Amino acid sequence: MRRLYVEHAAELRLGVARLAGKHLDADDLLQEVFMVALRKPQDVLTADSPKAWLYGVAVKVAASRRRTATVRRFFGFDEVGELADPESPSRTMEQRDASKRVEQVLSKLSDKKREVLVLHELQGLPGEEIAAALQIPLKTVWTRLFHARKDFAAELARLDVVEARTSGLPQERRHG
Amino acid sequence: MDELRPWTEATDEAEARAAKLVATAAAIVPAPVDLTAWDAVVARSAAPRRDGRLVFAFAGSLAAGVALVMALTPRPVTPPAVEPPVLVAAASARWTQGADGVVSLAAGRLSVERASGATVRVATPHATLEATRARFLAEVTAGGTTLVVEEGEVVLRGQGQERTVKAGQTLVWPEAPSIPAPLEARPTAVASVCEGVGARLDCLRLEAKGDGLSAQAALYELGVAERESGHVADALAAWTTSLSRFPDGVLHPEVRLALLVELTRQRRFAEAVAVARGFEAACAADPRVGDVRALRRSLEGR
Repeated sequence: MRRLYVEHAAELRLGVARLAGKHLDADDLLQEVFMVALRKPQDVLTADSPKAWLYGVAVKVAASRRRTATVRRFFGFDEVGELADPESPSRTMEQRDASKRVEQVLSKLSDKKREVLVLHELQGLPGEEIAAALQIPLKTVWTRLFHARKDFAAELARLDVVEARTSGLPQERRHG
Repeated sequence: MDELRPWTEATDEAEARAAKLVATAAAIVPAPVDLTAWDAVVARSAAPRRDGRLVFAFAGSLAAGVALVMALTPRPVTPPAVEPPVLVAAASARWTQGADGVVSLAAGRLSVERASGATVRVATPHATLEATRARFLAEVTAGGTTLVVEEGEVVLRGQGQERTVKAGQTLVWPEAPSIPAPLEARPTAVASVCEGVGARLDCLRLEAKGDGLSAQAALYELGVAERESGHVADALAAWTTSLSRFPDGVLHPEVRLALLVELTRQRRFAEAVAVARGFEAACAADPRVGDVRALRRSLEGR
């Protein structure tokens, strides 16, 4: 189990942060994922892809924590302290900005689309592993991913328009 | 649906832009994880674990219980601030107040000076008074309880009856019994030498000092005249003198009846009962003894 932790902890921490949102404590989420693994060693060690199994847990932990955070925010209990950044400090300025933008757009997607998009496009999991992690048919993975891409692009375009309007940029003039 | 082509090969401009953005973010390398944190995971995992479902079930049950109690419990209506009534007792009054708030007035005068939303209860030897938002005066004497209501209304209960006395009304309780008409009839055969005299009262007083039938007649007539003049005490004194001087005189039945009637009107029931008993003993053959007995019995019940 420790070997799994050494191999996947960094990647999983970034993944679970992308799934749950970076306002939540990624270290805590990571610990929770491996606590589940420690409680079910047979399941994880006998899985076809332990990595996919861990991602499956991460998806559930992230979804649960997102719901809890929503409730806590509603009652005014959301207290975010200093959180460790799961992304490498060596990232470029462009990568940092892109990461923020991606998180902003992801927060507008449904959980199901968000999950497949994060796992495939950001974490690089193949379709088979995503199917195993989410316990859904492979075709469903591709279908969800197809719609997730469309929604992501549309939401990104919408945000760009909104920001252009509110940033004081001159509007396009019509010439009759 | 078959496996999708890589997103970066998208031809749509918006999708291509989105794919490029995501690819840029995906290229970020994860920050290294402190591998000593594994020990913390193991320690945390070994700690007793709360079953989240139980916590949720408990919290849910608690919330449902609280909601149920709140829904079923009638909301307490905050009572408006009620100013206490102001009770003023005369210096000579004898009264006490029990733990239940009931004022027991044994004698004398008590008044409620301020109408209040709080219920005032006054118990006298003759009745109980209950009032809310009322100003009234209660006076207890040997003859009964006098109630004068100045504002609002007061419910009086006594002798199995209930009376509601409203503002401006006065009630004396127990109510005086009705006096049979034969007892109030004035004898026509009484003659006096003072008839037609200008200073009739002086004449009667002078005659009363004499003796014989004229003095008896003068004393009886003097009592009647004093009563008609509003001098009840003088009237009673005249008749009492007549009885003491001429207990078996010709007019003693008329004098006794006059005393009985006036004492009853004055609510001096105990004295009236004594006079009635005297009449029944001394005038057993008088046709009015039946009325006297009936009046006495009604007086004794008060």
